[in-house]
Amino acid sequence: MKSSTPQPLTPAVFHILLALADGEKHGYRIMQAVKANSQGEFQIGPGTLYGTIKRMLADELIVETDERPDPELDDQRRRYYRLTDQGRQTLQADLVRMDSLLKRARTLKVIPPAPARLLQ
Amino acid sequence: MNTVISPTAHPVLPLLRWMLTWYPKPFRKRFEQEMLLTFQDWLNNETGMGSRGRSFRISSTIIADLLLSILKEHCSEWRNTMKVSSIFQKIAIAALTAWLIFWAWTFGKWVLHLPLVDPTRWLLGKDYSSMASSIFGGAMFLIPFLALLTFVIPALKINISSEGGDSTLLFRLHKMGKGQAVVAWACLGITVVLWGTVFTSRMGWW
Repeated sequence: MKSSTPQPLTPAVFHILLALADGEKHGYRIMQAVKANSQGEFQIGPGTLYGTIKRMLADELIVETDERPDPELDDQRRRYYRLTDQGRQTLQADLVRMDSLLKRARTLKVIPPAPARLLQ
Repeated sequence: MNTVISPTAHPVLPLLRWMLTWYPKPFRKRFEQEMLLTFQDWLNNETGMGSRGRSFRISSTIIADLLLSILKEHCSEWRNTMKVSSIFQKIAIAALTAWLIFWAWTFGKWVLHLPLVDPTRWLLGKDYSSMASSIFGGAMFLIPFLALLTFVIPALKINISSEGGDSTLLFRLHKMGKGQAVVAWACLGITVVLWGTVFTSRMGWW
């Protein structure tokens, strides 16, 4: 039986969606953004990256953009990806799910309360 | 800004380029060029200023990641080409997997003398009856053949041709998926070897 509640995303899918949240990027830029967003805690290799991109394209979470870079500035063989509406909604749903878990963990005093500046 | 770099800029690139040929063809066709560029970017940016040790570590990380990814893509491709829709085929694949595990276990125990428990005793109990032994032996004998049938029967097309007043029964096989064909051929091979071995030993040929 399939659950109606959204299932957690895999770490690779989550980090790629997050990396593309602020605009289109090519493969290596995605890898850099993943590393920066996780403060170096999570790194994604090229094999995992393109395997995940393949599945995300099939699931319509991301699309390849039609525009090609300027050949003077970049290699034209490079392909850029951006989030689809579905991809953005999926990312938001996962973040909301994490947020409610975090709130629950704070209620249970598993982690300390959020600093006041974060709550403002 | 990214500059266009020669594909042989880093010494490990030829190896990575060669490893890309291990991917399934559809994946390679779609992502090969992009992956090469990403390798170049990563190797140049991450190892450019570093020591040889750092360069080696990063190259090893890419290679390990690629090996896992290649395996994953082949599994994914395999699932796509199998197109296992029938419940019978799913049962056949599960039975074949169990069959292979049993023989690998038996081989490990009795041929390689690994410290494993006797698989037959483990499965049937310590003092198993001769009937349980016969049923189990029969199942081990029939599983590859039955699995073969689950793949061949759905692909079988039977036509009756009537030419010149004579009716002829024609059997033809539809084109199977690549994965299905591999499993069917493997089952056929195993059945021939298994049945041939039993038949020739019963005939006292060896």
